Amino acid sequence: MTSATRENDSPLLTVEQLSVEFMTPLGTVAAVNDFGLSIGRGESVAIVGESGSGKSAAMRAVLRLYPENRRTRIRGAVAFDGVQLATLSNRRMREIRGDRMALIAQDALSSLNPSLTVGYQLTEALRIRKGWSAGRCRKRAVELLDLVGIPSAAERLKDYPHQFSGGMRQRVLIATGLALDPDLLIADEPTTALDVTIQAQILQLLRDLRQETGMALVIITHDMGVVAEIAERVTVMYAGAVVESGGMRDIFTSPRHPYTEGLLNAVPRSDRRAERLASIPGSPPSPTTRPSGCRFHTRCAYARADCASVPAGLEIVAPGHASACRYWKENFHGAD
Amino acid sequence: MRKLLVKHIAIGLLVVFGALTLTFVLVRMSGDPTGLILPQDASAAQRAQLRAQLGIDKPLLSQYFSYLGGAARGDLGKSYFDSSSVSAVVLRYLPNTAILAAASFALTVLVAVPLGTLAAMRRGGVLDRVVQAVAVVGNSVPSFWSGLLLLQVFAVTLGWLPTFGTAGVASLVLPSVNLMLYLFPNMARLTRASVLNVLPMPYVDTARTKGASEGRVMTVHVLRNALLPVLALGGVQFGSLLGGAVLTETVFAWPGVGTLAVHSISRSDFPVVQGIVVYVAVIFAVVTVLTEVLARAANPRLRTAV
Repeated sequence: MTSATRENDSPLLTVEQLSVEFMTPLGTVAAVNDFGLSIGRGESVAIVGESGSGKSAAMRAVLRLYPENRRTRIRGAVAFDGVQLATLSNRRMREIRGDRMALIAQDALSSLNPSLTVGYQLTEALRIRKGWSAGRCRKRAVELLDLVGIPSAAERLKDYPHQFSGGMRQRVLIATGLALDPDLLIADEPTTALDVTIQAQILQLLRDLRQETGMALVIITHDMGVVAEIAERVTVMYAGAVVESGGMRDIFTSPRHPYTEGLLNAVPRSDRRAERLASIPGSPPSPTTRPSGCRFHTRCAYARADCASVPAGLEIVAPGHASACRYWKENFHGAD
Repeated sequence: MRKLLVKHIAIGLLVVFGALTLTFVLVRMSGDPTGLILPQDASAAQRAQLRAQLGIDKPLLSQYFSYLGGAARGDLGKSYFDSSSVSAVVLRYLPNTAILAAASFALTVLVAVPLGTLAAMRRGGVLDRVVQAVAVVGNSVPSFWSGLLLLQVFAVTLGWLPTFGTAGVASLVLPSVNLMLYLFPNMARLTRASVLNVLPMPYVDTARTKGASEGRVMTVHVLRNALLPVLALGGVQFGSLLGGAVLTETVFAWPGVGTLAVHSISRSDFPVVQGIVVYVAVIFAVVTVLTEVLARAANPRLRTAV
């Protein structure tokens, strides 16, 4: 709530040169490479990519959810509201996680504790962080369930997660994320497990919540349809790295990276009749053996000889729009 | 819930009935007890008289029904050697077994659950390897041997604790530790495996994203779920302890049900042996029902699944 009213131009969250590596017996897995992101207060940003592209790993690393051990190496700078998160003690980090940033994980059923009532889980953060009494928590839990549109909220507090339907569970999980009025809500594939009508309801809910609370929203998805529904800005990831980022409209109307173009062509559209949906040939590279040069060159229709050897970095193609394709000018010249 | 309880009690009664029948048949098959009770040179008339006295001269079926009828009233007959009833004999030894069972089970839970949990949290670490090694050793060492070893070291050489008897807490230490060594491997390993299953669950991370401390994450979120299978194992272990730990009780001369069983078998006191078997069956049935009730209380998914 506070963020919406605050007159402050500095971004809420900035991530620079974030990399996440896991040491496994099969070699080093580079889940995220040189990831960057900036989110303004109240803004909504989508991170798009295929499974394994590092979307979730990047966000988990931002929240410092990976255990600190020799098998995980995380580098980069993450600043939340001007504070470098890496410098915080575990205790201070827990405060940020509870109060300011919330993460809604992918699968609502396995993300809720099967042995605890929904009412308890909804307000656990309030008990821990604010030391609220049981009665006060109960009131807030009813409010939260009302907020996410669960009918007869008061009677459902004593129920357990398995007693809710898939869509309702997703709402409960969203409500747990909202308990402390976070400034930033990160939703990881919030609609993937749901059928289409429920998907639309959940997206509508997230939009409404953003309007009501003024929180910033990061939505992690592989679905360009979801992106179009909810995001103001889009970051496209491929094989652990950002390949394109820009405003939602720019990305949809004038993509400047062959991978983004491929993703867009794979979306069914009512204004285009096609026998088959286009798909991107091949499959994403394994994280243990990333291709040299531009990582997308193995699947790129426009690939040139030197794409396999020269690494591609993000270049500004227009104000607020960046692409990691070295030949964006040639490939997308006059494409609009 | 009530339906389930009724079902379990019915199953329990069936188990007890089965145990009664089986012991009856086995005892009758084991031959004529008069040969063991009377001296070798007893006359045929003396034997017949004893048979009539013990009631084993009647047809088998009528013996069976009067035995069942007696059991239903709590009367399991009289010991051959002691004029008191079987129930009285068993009840005399029962408190000792109950004390030892409670002490050793509490000790096992207090040692195995935290160690299993820590081993899982530091998987592959030093503690994990030590716990696993101790579990393997504990599983392979027979109780009578570990018991003798404990006696040798702590009672004989160091003289810290008494070698046998039931005098005070000190005499309870060695038998409890010995039983703990026997129960520890399964409980520690199950706890470890179960915690390892729960740790990667997304709801554990959900708790972390709420800002919960690691201690809270482990107790409220991980152990609450991870201990559900451990609870079931605990029920079985506690039930078997209440049935009398034959080897440990014998080694430490602990006057419990296990010692009574060994003693009664060696002198062919069939009614007492029968009584012990029935008692063990009843205990198991009761412990099973209680474990089921506890599991339901702890696991909400079981409650609505019926």
